[in-house]
Amino acid sequence: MSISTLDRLLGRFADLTSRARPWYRWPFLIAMPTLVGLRVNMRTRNLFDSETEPEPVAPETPLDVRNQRTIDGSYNDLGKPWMGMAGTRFGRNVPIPDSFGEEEPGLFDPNPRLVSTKLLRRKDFVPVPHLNLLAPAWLQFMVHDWLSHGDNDPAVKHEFPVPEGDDWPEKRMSILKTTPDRRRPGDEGRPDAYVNKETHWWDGSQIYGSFAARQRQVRSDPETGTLLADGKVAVLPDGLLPLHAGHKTPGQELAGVNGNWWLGLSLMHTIFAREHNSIVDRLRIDHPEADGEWLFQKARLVNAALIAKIHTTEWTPALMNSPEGRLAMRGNWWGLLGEHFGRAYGRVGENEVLSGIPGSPVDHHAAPYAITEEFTAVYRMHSLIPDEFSLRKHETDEEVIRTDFFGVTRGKVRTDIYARLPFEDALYSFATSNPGALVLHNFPNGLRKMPEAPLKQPEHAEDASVFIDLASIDILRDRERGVPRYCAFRRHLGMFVPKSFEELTDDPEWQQDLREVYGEVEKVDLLVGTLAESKAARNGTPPGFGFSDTAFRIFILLASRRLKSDRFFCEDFRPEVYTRAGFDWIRDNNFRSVLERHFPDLAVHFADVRNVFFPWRKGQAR
Amino acid sequence: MTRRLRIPGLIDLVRIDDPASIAAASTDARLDRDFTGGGPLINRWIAGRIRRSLRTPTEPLPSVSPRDQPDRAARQAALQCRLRKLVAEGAVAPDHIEELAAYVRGERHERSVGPLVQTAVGCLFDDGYMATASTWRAACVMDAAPRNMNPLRSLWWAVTDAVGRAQRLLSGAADDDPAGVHATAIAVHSLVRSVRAMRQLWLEPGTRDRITADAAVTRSLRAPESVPRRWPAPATTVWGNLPAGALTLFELDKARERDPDADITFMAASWSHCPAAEWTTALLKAVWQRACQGAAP
Repeated sequence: MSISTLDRLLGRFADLTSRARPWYRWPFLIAMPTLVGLRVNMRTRNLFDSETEPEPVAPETPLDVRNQRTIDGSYNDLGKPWMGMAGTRFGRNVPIPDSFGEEEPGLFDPNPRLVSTKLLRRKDFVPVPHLNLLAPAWLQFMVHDWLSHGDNDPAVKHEFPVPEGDDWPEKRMSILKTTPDRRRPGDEGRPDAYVNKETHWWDGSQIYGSFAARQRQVRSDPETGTLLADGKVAVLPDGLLPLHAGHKTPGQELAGVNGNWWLGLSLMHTIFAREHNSIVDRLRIDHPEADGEWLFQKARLVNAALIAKIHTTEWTPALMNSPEGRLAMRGNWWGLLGEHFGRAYGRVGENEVLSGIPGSPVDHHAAPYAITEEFTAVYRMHSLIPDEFSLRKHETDEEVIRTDFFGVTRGKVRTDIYARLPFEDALYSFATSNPGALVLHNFPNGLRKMPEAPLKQPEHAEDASVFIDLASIDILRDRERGVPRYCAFRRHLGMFVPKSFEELTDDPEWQQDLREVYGEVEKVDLLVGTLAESKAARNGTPPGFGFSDTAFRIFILLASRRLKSDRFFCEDFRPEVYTRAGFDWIRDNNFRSVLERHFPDLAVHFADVRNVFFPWRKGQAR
Repeated sequence: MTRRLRIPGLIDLVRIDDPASIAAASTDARLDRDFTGGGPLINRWIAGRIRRSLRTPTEPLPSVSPRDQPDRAARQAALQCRLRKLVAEGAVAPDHIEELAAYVRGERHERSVGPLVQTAVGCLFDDGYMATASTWRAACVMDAAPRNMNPLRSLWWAVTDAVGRAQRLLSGAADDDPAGVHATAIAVHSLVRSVRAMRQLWLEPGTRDRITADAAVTRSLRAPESVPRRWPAPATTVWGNLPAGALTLFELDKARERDPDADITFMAASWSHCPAAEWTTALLKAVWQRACQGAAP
């Protein structure tokens, strides 16, 4: 890795301006170079590799690795074929010595359940008026592409007492520990590392799977079990996903990754399974002689790139609804010269700032590419999910179903929702509802007392006696995996560090709540701190942003890294690899056009919105 | 990351902070600690300062002794053996642990750490070693001398012979043992930074209750910021063709953030490894544990 003189100057500039105030409190012309400089600095200072000797080994593959993505993500980097592969370790954004997992007794200080009850429990639903519910659905759709810590070992648990007076059914709470990777000879003196069960790449693995057996399932005829010869993924004649044969939950839909299934995921998976098949149809026009395998692989490349483009240029700008946020993210794809310039004249040199990352050279910067534990931590956004769902007809906006979160989860998506409501209406309902805001006291209560029985033994849902508090789990996960607490985290990112609760948040009630639970601001958990800073005018959430500045710092690093490290978004982002038709498909499409293609009847509802993640126009009541 | 600063005839300096590159370069037989001979102008000037600063009145410190210097390896092994024995016997600075632990707990003044650590290190070479403000100041002068870029300070030190006086003072205190002078003048600074980091860790609310002693040591341990090496002959490397006299700096403390292994912090796999690796780790662990034992409930 080498840094250009311009990058070095931008990095110094960002250091200088950040000393006085955060980037978003500077005028636009200073804020933008500051943002670029912050990314330069983080690429140098905040990327750490957790792989040690002996390095993982990528399996031999008969695939044409130059021109297609492998199932497990290997051979993306041809010099280090294991990089980003399913089963490799999460990286870090803080120095390795500072990433030891917390141990008892401090691990439970303060009690995670106390944090859940006193600081996270939703009192009144606080919505984000400018976003719709497709935003959290998309978020989880993406997260399932990027990461999974896999199953925990049921024999190894954290156990701690539940605070006095709590209404939790038991006196003690037990949470399964995350299973660390086995120790290697090179791990001496280093903290435990954890393995990503999915590919780290932005490769659509949530649709296509990270393992051969699952990919074969999603590509097979659900009736006969034979591989679809036309290169498509399985979609039923009614446009829905096939059911997962043999799954313990009746009605569970099939996808590359279908854990933690709910209606939001079902919507996204169905849309992009259909999109894959549309891409195949388009490619077959130009390549009538191509076989199904070739068509599948090219369509996958195109579909994954389109998803990455939508995330970069539509989803993230919707959540970062400010001139700087929009330019930063759109700049990642098209560069400062913009989309129209790129369409007219193509790239101007290799510079990512001018012409965007796609098509520029690969650069892993200070460490081999991997999704990081800290990225996982700042993507804990369960507060986006409401506790109630109103599902309505798109023509009249008439409510058909009102249900809690569990009414839209797992097999119920098929058995209860799609059985009573067309897919289009479910999509419309999500697009006309608001998600929750990422603030304190807004964690969905349904997720704070989830009956475990329906998840494990769905046939006995009414007998639930074991519960899960996802808020407590969120807190404990960051602690056990060595993600620094809020103040230490910001220190590592070179950000302003609050010295008191008054500096953390402007809300006097929150200050009092935080003081009662934590006592000292240095103990505040990362998740809680990021939610609390939503009400901090001086050093908190930037105006128009749906998430905290702390999380944003990790996003500006990782959002560009997911592109900049991926050969298929950099030097192999070209028509020779994607095909001319595929390359044009990515250029000419966005989420709006995808929705128009598959749901033309709904177009009237989003015709007027600038971004389809903003609330759509509601149907007219008769 | 590797950065090369090169102006032909004037300077050729390669700085490395990537653990894998440091590990590879430190086993390169062409790289040495011989700071005599020609090379680009500024390189010669830097090498001369290293040569003049890092020495006792009579001989170079071990940290700048060439690989093939007679007795170098034998002395290094003997010292390592002696320090390992102390670790095995559980006799790692027993008279100083309590004071260092008190410092870590915040019960001693910030400025006291230098002499405290210097005394603990000095006693390895002379039982009666007692650091003073003068010895600590001398250690700071010797440590800063090779890197000093302040012309006024250089002039003042030249006029007052500050570096020479520091060498004589510390040499006398360590019984003229070059390893002792290196330990109390140069290596002591990494240990001081480690103990300071440990104090910060201790004083961070809640932290001491959630990390193990081993984790505390790993988080606190600091490596030398930079370790110089010289290419005595022209060489073809991954960084390009280097002329005779080119310098390479291993930025060990930056590399430690990526790989806290002893191979980096103490260059344990290299011929120029630190003989006090085990002793340093054991000392820090003992200090942390004593700090925990002595903490108010």
